[in-house]
Amino acid sequence: MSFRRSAPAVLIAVSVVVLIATGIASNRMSSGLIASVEESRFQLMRSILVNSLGDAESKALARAEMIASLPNVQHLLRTADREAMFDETGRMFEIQRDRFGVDQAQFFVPPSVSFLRINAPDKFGDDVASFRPTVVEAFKTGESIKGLSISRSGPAVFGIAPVRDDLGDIGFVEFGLDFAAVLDGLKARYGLDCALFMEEKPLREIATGMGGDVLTDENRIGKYMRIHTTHLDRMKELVADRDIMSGERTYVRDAAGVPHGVLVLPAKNYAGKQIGVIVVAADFSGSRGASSETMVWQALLALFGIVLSAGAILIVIRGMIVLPMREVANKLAAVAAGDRTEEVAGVDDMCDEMKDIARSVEVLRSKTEGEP
Amino acid sequence: VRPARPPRPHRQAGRRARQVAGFLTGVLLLLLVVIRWSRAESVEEPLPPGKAEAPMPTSKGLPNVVRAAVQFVDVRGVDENAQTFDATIDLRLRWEDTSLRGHELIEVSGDAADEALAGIWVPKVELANLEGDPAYRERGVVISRDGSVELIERVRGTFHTPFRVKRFPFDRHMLEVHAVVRGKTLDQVVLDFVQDDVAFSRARDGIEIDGWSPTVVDLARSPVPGFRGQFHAGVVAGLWVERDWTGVLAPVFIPLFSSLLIPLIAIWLNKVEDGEFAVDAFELANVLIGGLFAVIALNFTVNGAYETVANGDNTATRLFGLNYLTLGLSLVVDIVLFRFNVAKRLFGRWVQEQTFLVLLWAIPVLSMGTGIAVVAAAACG
Repeated sequence: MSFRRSAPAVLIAVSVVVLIATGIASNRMSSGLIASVEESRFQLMRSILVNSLGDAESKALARAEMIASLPNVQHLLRTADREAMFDETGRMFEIQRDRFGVDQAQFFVPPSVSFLRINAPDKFGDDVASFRPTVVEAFKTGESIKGLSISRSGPAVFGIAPVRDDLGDIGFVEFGLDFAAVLDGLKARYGLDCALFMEEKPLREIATGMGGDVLTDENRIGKYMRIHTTHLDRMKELVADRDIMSGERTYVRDAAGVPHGVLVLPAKNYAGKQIGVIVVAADFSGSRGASSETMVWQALLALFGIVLSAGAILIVIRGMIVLPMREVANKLAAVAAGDRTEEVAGVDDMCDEMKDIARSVEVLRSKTEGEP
Repeated sequence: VRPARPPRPHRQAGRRARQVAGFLTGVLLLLLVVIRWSRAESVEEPLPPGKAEAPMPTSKGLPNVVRAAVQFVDVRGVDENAQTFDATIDLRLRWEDTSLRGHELIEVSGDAADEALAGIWVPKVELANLEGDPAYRERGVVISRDGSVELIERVRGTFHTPFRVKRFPFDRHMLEVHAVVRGKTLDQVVLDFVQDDVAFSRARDGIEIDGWSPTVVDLARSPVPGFRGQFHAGVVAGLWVERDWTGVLAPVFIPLFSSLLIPLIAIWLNKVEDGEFAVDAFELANVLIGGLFAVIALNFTVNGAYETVANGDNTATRLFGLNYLTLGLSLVVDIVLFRFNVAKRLFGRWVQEQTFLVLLWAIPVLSMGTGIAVVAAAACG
C-alpha cells in the first residue's frame, strides 16, 4: 500500500461521497419545496374549478327561483297556457342566453312532464323521468336542486326550483347554464385551459338534441366524448385515454414543449354519480424550470466542493508530507548505504515536524561522517 | 384759367403700382379663403367607413360583448433587436346588433365591406402595438339575418413585442398582437373569446420563420387603463415561437467556450523544473492580456449582432462574465504563484509544485463545468 496514492484516494473518496450525499439531500429538499408549491397550485386549480361550478349552480338556481316567484309565471303554469308562458319568458331567456351563458330553461308539470322548453319551444309534452333523475328527485322531494346533469340539449349546470302559488305546488322551473361558458370564463379570467368529457352512452341516450358535430370519432376518448375544450391542440397533447379513466388525479406533462400541470376531476351529478370528467391545465414551466435549474446549480456546487477538497487534499498530503518525507527517506537510505556526502535538501521548505526528522538525519549523517 | 397740368409720369406709375398691389393682395386673400375653405371642407369630410358614430346597440344592455380572435396568416421576420416582427394577421371581431335583424345576408369584402359597415355601429378596436401605418389593410364583413356581425380585418404591418432573453438561446417568446377598444370603457364594450375564437386563433399552416419555430397561439384578456381610473377592454393574442438554438451555436457559443481556453493556456504553458517555474510570468501575462482583448472584441461583436442579450442577466452575459472571471483568476495565479512564488514563500517548494499541478486541472474543470452549467440551466429553466 502506498501512502502517496492511498491516503489522497481515501480522503478524496470520502469527500466526494459526503458532497454527493449532501447534494442529493439538498436536491431532495428543494424538490420537496417545489413539489409542495405545485401541490398548492393544484389545490388552487381545484378550488377555482369547484367554486366556479358551485357559483354556476347557484346562479342557475337563483334564476330558477326568481322566475318561479313571479305571479304571472305561476298563473300561466297553473292555467297551462304554454303560448302565453313563452311570450312571457321568451325575451328574458334570449337575453340570458346571449349575455350570460344560459342555454336551457324549462318548465315541468307533474309527474315529470316537460311543459315548455323555452330554448326549444316546439318540443314539449314528453315525460323526462327516464333520463332526468334530477327532475324526478325534485318532484319527489318538492325542494330545489342544483348540480350537473345531462338533458336533451346536452350537459349543463342546472338549478331547478318549485313553482308554487296559494293553491299549492304547480310544477318546477329549471335553468341550465352552458358548461362551455363556465370553462371559457376560467380560461379568460385565470388562463386555465379546460376540457369537459362526458360519458358517451348517456349522451347518446339522453342528449338527442345535441349538435352532431360533438358526438364524432375525433372527440371520442375511451368511453368519453370531448364536449368542450378551451384549447384543442394543447388538450390533445395533455390528455390521453388512460389519464381520464381513473378518478381524480394530477400529473405534469409537456404540451408544445411547455410543462403543464394537469388536474383531472370527476364530474358528478347531484346524486354523486360520475357522469364525466373535467380537466384543468395550467402552465407549470415556472416551477419545473426552477426545479431543473436548481438541480444544475446544486450539481455545480458539488463539483466545486469535490474539486476544491480534492485539490486541498493533494496539496497538503503530497506537498507537506509525501514529497518532504521522500527527500528525507532518500537521504536516510544514502547514509545507510554509506553515502554521507550530501545534506538533506530543502529543510527550510518543510513543516516543523518534518524539519525535526530532517535535522535528526543530518545529525546522524554528520556523526557517521568519516566512518568507513 | 389755369391750364390743366399734364399727368406726371411718376404719379401714374405709383397709381399703377397701387393697383397691382391691390390686385395681388386680393388674389392672396382669395387664395387664403380658398385654402381655409378647403381645409374646413377636409375637416368636415365624412369619417372613413366603419368609423361613423352610429349608435351603439343597447337593446341587450351593456356592456356589448365583442368576441375577438387573431389568426397569424404570415410572419415574415422577427427582429429581436428592434423588438418587432413583421406579420400579416386576420383580426376577427364578432358582435350582435339587434337593429340589423331581418336584413338580407351581406357577405362582402374590400370597399364594399367599408360601405356596408359605414352605417352600422362598429367597435373601435385598435391594434395597439402596431408600429406606424400598416402596409396593407383590408376588411371583410358578414352581416347575418339574425343581427350578428363578423368583421375580419386583414392587416400587414410591424408589431412591437417584448423579448426576454434570460434563457437565450433556449428562449421562447410570444409574438404579441394587442387589440384594444378605444373610446368605450369596460362598462360599455368588452372584448372576450370563447372556444371558437381560440380555435380560429392559430398560425396558418406552413408558416416558417427564419431562426424560429412557431408553436401555438394563446389568447388572454388584457384591459388597458384609461382616464379617471377607467379601463378599456383588450385582448392579447400571442404566437409562441421557439428559437432555433443551433443557429446561434457557431456565432456565439463556440467562440465563448473557445475564449475560455485562453486563460487556461496561460497556465498550461508553464511547468515546474526543480521547484522553479520554467516560463517567465511576464510572457504569460501577455497571453492573458491578449485573451482579454479577444473577449472584449467578442463581447462587442455579440452585442452588436444580438442587442437584446447585451443587457441583463442571460446565458451569453453569464458566459462573458465567466470568461472575464477566468482571465482574472489566471492573472492572479500568474502574479501570485508564478511571479512572486507566494506558495513557496509560505509553505515551501513542494506545496508550490503541488498547487501548480492541482491548478493545471482544477481551473479548467471548474471553468468549463461552470460554463456547461450556465448553458444547462438555460436549457432546463
